[in-house]
Amino acid sequence: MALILYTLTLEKIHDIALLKLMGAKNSMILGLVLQESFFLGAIAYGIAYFLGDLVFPFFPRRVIVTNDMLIWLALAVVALCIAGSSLGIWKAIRVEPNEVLA
Amino acid sequence: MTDPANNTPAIEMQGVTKVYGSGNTRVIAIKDIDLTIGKGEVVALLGPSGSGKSTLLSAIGLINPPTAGRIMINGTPVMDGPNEMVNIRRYRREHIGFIFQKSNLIPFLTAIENVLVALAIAGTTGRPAKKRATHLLESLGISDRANNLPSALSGGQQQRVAIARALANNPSLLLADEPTAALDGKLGRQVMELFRDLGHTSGAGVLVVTHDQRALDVFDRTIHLEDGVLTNQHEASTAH
Ligand SMILES: Nc1ncnc2c1ncn2[C@@H]1O[C@H](COP(=O)(O)OP(=O)(O)OP(=O)(O)O)[C@@H](O)[C@H]1O
Ligand SMILES: [Mg+2]
Repeated sequence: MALILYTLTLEKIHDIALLKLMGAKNSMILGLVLQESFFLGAIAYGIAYFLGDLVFPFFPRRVIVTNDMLIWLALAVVALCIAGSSLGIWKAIRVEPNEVLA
Repeated sequence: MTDPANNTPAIEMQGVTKVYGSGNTRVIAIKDIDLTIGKGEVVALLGPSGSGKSTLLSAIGLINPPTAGRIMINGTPVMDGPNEMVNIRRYRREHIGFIFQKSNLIPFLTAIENVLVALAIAGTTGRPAKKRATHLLESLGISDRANNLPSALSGGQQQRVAIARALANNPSLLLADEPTAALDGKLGRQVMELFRDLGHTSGAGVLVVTHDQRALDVFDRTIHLEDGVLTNQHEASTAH
């Protein structure tokens, strides 16, 4: 997950350098990276939820999914998203605007 | 007395030098440059490959700090040697428009969205931003392509979107590095004429790096770099 986010950010390093060159604040760039991360996180959560619905009935023991668990899982996903993007964010914040010229 | 603000140059450089690397790999890219460009003045920067044109442009554009010398924009000291005298990120978004050889559009955004990004960076969003972006694309004759991705546009159209983006925040300084290199002669000339009209109507200082000899008559003035030194200023004072 972290690796995917990192690669996605790397892919856009040129665009991020461009945004900086145009004078974008770091907070805006941070927002963009996190937004992407949360978007992916939301998709993963959705897939996991439906997959769970499909698979759990075949488990030997009944799996009880409570609302509480779902909320905790959501929080975990959010935390993972932030952790996962930190490498990408670190890279994004360090990009020099003149990489656009390269 | 006349309004002193009108006499303030758009760009003033004093003794600007840029050295890359150190020791054996030391390269003096530009050396002791003194240069003044007035408001509304449209200037071409010429010189052989490696003479320091891009270095000069990126120093003025606050993306590549000089090693020594002072840079003033609209009378405000912005760089003193490598030291930033203002918030340069903010200065870039509010005062400077950049155009490059490649249009450098964001590939997954449409033409109008690429312009909207520049506006958003400077804090303009919503309807006023949409209106401004549409107007810009109209004035550059590409409003019918507003909702196309860059990949669906021709080179000339992409470059015009990039120009619209550079103009989005009414920059007082327009810097272009070989903006017409990827365009054919006729289109290249049109783009140069566009820069001239922009400078003359908006009062922005315009500095364009170019190799295109055919469009030089469009400019108010041409300056020449050679080995990091402005040569025509010497020519002016040395009779042959
Ligand atoms: N990042 C860098 N590190 C080291 N040397 C550099 C760097 N950028 C430019 N130089 C050197 O500085 C000199 C001027 O380069 P610059 O790119 O400003 O030239 P230019 O006039 O724009 O050339 P061209 O017409 O080929 O674009 C060259 O000798 C170049 O090799
Ligand atoms: Mg160059």
